[in-house]
Amino acid sequence: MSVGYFKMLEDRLAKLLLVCFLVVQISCAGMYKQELSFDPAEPLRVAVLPFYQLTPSGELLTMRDDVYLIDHIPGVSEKVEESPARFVQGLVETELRQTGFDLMPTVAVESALLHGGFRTKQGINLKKVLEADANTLCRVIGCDAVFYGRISKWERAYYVVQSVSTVGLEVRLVRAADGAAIFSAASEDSDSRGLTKGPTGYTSLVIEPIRGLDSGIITELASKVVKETIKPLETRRSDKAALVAPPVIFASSHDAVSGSLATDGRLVVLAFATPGASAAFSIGSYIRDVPMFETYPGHYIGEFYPVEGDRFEMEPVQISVRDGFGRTAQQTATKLKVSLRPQGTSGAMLSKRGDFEKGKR
Amino acid sequence: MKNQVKSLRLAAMILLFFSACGPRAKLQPEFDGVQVQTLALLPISVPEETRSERRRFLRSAFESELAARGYRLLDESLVLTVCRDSACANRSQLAAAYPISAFVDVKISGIERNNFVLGFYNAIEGSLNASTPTGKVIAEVEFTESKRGGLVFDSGQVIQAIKEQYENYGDWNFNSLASGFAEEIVAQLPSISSAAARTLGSAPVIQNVSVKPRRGMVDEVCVSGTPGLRALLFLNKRMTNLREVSSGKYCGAYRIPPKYAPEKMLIVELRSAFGAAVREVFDVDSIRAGATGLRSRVTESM
Repeated sequence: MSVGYFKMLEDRLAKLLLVCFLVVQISCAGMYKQELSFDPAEPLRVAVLPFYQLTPSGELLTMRDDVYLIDHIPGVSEKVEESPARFVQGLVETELRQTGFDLMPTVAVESALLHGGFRTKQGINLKKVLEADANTLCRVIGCDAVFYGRISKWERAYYVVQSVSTVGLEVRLVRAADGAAIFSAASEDSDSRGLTKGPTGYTSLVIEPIRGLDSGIITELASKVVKETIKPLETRRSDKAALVAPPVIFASSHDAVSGSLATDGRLVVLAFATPGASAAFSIGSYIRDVPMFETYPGHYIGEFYPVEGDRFEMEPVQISVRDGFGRTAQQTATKLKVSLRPQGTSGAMLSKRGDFEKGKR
Repeated sequence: MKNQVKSLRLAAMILLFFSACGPRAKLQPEFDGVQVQTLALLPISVPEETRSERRRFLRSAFESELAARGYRLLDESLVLTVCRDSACANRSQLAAAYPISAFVDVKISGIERNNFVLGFYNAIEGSLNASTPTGKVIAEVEFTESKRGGLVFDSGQVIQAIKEQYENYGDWNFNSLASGFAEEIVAQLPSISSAAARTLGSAPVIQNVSVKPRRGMVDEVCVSGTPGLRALLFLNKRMTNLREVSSGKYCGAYRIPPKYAPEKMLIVELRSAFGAAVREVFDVDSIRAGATGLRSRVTESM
């Protein structure tokens, strides 16, 4: 066998190794599993409970003030003065604010738990919180659903030519009314530095695995894991929204031709807009988001009936439509502003109009 | 000429070096975790070309970070009724109506995204100012959060560099940068423990919900409960406000078309300016027929 033959074999082996290497890279994606069984646009009032970690033996991991799991490796890692549970909880809360949920303030949740019988000398009795059912917790906190989070993995491993950071997260959203888990997810992902990321030389083969222990890498990985985990709950999915045109209001009007409303009268507002949207109108800042009903695709109608004490002067009537991705369009219904004064102060003219639906109760 | 170029390069490097440092913060003694607990976060000022989704994310990041530090934030919808921009000339109206300790003004002076194929450099530069209702500035924090990657900056790891370059084209990179920016800036402010948190008035309570038919198939929905709050009715996927017609009694009048029968189960909510709330679900038909009003079942300790 000639030298040329061995050279050819060497070339083929190198190519085969490269292909295998790329296949391994592609296949080493994170694991994300989610189950969603409700409409994320439902206006649930959600309380995020303190996230937690368990020790290998299944005990709750408690933090002392001087011990941080996102720690400081001198010369490599920037000190992050938070536990992984607290850090990830903050990321989750930021993502949940992109959803349609009414998220309760953190301090309100913690305060309610402390005052509601879930206190120890050190603070919140997390064990008792986790043992209580959602209904009990929401009676104390004042919520419709509770959001649980557990850090199932938070590891940095060093193998000389490779370092691997792994973050695992399990979350559950449980509705108080029936105790049903309406959303659950289990995620795990890793990021590595060293041999598998294509070192360009012997120096980088040694240095990059050490740099891979930087807390910045694992915190960034945590951010990615959280984003992917919470994605099904987002109502403003930009990836899907890009495929659909945003809502538009083509025309709008109201029937207060003189600009005055009677205290025993009504204001009818019409809009012609993108079908299937959620529409509402406001009168200045005094009357907010009176819902409009889609009586025919793209045709929206709403009515304002004054109650005792209502009063406003020269306010614009503003219509807004919103699609399923949270995108909105707004339009002022004509340039004519409206006023509502107590009876006897002005002549009110309202245009007569029949009922907008045929059926009667 | 060569010397000038060298000086410019040196100056640029020095600037880059300092921009990579931590936040620069100046806090007055008045800004402690006892006196300052309730904040009004004003509309965030961002460069004009910034997309609305990014503005929204920035705001969410700051809200989360401030809430995580223990601050109670004035409801955004209340802020927007008075303040349309970060300058908010009429902020004294908010201070007069609600117990606000400080106004927080976040200004993003620059969002840089530099993608040069073999590498990228992204940065968010901005500041946070907190001022009392009397206008005294009690906190100033400035910071630049930056991230770089790609082959030029990550030359030791080819695959990682390519991966980072690919990820830089999405929104995730901006979100990560915005989160880091908000985290670093807010971390300069004092933290408030749950034990030190002050109670803001009594917890909202709903005592009764009534539905009174008016002429023309219109229903007047009224909620009785804690006075001085905002009352909201969930109807057709919208939250509309009920008005306080007398102390503790909030009403609104609506006509619900028959084809929206599922809407017969409605939700009312009483909410304080700082997020304390109580909700009640009720059946319009049964209450209209004369069923007794519901008693409050949920309170919130604030």
